[in-house]
Amino acid sequence: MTVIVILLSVVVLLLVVAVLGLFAMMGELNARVDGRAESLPTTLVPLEEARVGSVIERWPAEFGGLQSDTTAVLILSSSCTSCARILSGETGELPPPGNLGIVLVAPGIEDGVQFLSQYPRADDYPHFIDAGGDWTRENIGIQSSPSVIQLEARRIVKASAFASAQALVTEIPK
Amino acid sequence: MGSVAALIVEVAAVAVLLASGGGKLFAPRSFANAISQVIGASTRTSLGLSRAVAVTELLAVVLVAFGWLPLLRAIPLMVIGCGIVVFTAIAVSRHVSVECGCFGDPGSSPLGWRNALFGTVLILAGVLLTFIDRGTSLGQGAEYAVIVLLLAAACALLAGLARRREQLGMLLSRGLGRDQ
Repeated sequence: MTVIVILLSVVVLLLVVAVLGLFAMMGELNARVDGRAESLPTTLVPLEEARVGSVIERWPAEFGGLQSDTTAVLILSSSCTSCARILSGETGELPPPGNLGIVLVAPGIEDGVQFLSQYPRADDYPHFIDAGGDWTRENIGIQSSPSVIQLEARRIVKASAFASAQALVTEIPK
Repeated sequence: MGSVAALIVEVAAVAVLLASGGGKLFAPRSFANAISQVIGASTRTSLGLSRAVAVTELLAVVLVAFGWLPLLRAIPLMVIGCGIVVFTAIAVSRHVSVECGCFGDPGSSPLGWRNALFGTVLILAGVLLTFIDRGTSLGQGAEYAVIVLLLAAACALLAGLARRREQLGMLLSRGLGRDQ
């Protein structure tokens, strides 16, 4: 058996590992965008890029009404289909208002207002429109939505991606 | 007869380890989530552990295929099998119900008796490999290892295609990113 055959076998093996990896990534993506509510995962997926442990310095005035030190903030985007489905209630009921705020990342304030006007339930929650996404990038460090940030006294303790409102039920303080 | 059994066990074990190692290496988040919930590790640590497990499984692939002593082929399987059994036992004892993410994707069933059984089968496969010799009809050394690797790679690829047939069909018929 020549060295070339062994090397070719190793190359084939690496390609197979890469293809299997792509299949797994496709499954991960599919689970996050699948259209059927019952097939959506109900677990939170940790976001490693988030600035866990840091305190949010620029706290939006809109969140002044959040009732306790233990709060959660949903990061949604006007260009994200899953976010629209979450706000429309297609993926289940959102946790009750009180400790939950919504940050809507949108290209501009008007775009954000227009997006939110389609989902009246968003009015039940304190919400802040992050034009351009600068606030979210600078304070939380994430660029994906839908995500949920859990905070204690404005300190980020956990940041996760989620796919359905059901996933939030056990995680958000009531 | 023993050589055929050895070949089947080795190809099956290598195929499973290829699929789980490759899956977790590229999509480590689901298994990291399971680690985080079972042992309470932080996000960063869980992701690191998930990738470390993936690398260990891929190293086990090389050892099972190229190991020149029966023990070198058997030990990786027994170690990984024990790891799966212990991890499942911790999850069950703590009443944690979380998707395993064993093959990288989040669609797998929650950690439970199936995982414990799978770990036990891997341990038994390792034990079996210490008692049966490889045959010589398919060649020896690297020649045999290459045959095991290629057969296992083909099996893993076919199993992956079969598992993803619905999504691949949708991708082929509707194109990438449509309706997402």
